[in-house]
Formats: sequence, C-alpha cells, structure tokens
Amino acid sequence: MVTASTLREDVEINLQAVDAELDILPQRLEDMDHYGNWAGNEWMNIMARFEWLAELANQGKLDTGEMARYRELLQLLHKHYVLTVQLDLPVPELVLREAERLVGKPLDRAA
Amino acid sequence: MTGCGEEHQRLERLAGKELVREAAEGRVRFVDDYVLSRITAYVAQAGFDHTSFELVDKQLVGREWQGRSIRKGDRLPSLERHYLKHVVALEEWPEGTTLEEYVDTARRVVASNSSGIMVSRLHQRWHISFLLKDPEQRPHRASDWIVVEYDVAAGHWWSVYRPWRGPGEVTEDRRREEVRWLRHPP
Repeated sequence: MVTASTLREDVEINLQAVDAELDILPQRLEDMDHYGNWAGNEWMNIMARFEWLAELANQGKLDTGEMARYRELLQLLHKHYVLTVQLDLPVPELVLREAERLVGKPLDRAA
Repeated sequence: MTGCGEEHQRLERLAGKELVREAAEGRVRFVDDYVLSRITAYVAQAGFDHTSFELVDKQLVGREWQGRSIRKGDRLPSLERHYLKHVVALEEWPEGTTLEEYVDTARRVVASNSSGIMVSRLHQRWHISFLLKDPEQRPHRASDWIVVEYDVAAGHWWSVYRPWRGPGEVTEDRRREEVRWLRHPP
C-alpha cells in the first residue's frame, strides 16, 4: 500500500526526473557525437514517470505546488517537442494531449 | 553428423562476443541451453564500457561524488552516471546500495534462468534486454522488475535500471524493430 508520504516523495522524485530530462534535451541534440552512447536509454523510463504524473494530476492527487511544477513541465515539453521528434523519443499520448490542452496550441504531430 | 551437431561445433569455435552478436542478429539456428549459457556468461561479465563517459543532468548536479561536487556539463564514466541516476537520485535500489552491489545485481539478472531475454534493433543497433522480476532488495521506488540492456556492437551494458511501471517500457517501445525473445520470462 502506498502511504501519503511515499506518494509525495514519489511525486517529488518524478517531477525532478522529468525536469532533468527535458532540461538536457537541447544539449542532447547539439551533442550528437555522444548521442550513440545515450540514444535515449532512459527516455521510456522517464516518460512512464511523466505519464504517471499526468494520471495523478487528472485524478486531483497533486497538491497546488506539485500541480504548478507539473504544468511547467508540460509547457517545457511543448516547447521541446520538435527535439523529441528529431531524436526519435516517443512521448505518451496522454502527456501530449495534456501539453496541447494547457498551452492551447496543437503540436505538429506529423513533424 | 546432424545439422544441429555441426552448428554446435561452429558455435564452440566462436569467442563469446561473436557468439552473442550472431545470436542477436539471428544467425544462430538453434538457440538452446548451450547458446543461452554462453550468452549469459559473456554478457554478465561485460559490464559498462570503462572508456565511455555520459553527460550528467540537473538531477545529479550539486551531489557529492568521489570527493567533489558534480557540476553542470560534467561527464562521468557510464557506470558511475547510471549508478548515481538510478540508485541514488531515482532511489530504484535501497539506500546505501554500493556501486559494487549495483553491478552484482545486474550480473545476477543476466545470469538468472528466470530472466526473459529479448533481442531488438534500436536506432540501427542490436540490443539484448534481460528482464527479471525481482521484488527483493526493498525498499525501492519503481516496479519490481530490473532491466539490463546490452549493446551488441559496443560489447557492453547500455543501461541497468528498474522500469517505473514494468517491462512494457522495454517490450512496448515502438522504436524497437525485429523484436524476438530468446527466452520468455516465466
């Protein structure tokens, strides 16, 4: 059973993890010499965490501060979406939909 | 001599790395217990590439490591970067797990007869994924599964981690092509 404190801690770690991954994306693209080493080896893991946060947000289980940070991550994803396409890094459909809804601008899914 | 016998003789002459490559590329006709034991023995000892360095992200910046504070833009040896990310930052292993224990876990996963072994091609590179459900080593913040990813061309581990939601993060990754199981998980 997940206790409230464990849930808060899990949310905190996953907010940090998603933030860290999105923050470094522009550098990944500039850093193609090393891309072969990395090649998104953690991406699916981080996106599973992002999707989990999106589900919690939709269930009203994030507190006000967590919700604000989660929305910042959606905005950051929206901004960097083209990089995820260029690097062939899939984003869960739920996360894409929530990013589009928050920003109010559809992503170019065909990019 | 049977075709199977000739194949075994040919495989016995191959070095471990080459046999693993042939199996991943689908050039081994009979993937039996002998082939699996050669694959797991080779991959278990392969480890991360000691000559490979990886960029740290902001979840690691500011943490103390080897007597100094990690800075933005630092590159750490792959093993250390993966250990700090998955064991320390994401807490996928119990607090206090050492680098050596992290490596030992990966070796155990590869060597276990209960691990699923999946081959796939990702970004034109062959990978072998070893997946084991391992609910021990609590507490950990992730699923009960451990994944060891082996990069066939590099001849080294690519990643060792606990997927957040389970093996689907590997098996359902739409980027992976030519997926096939050398051994299904039980």
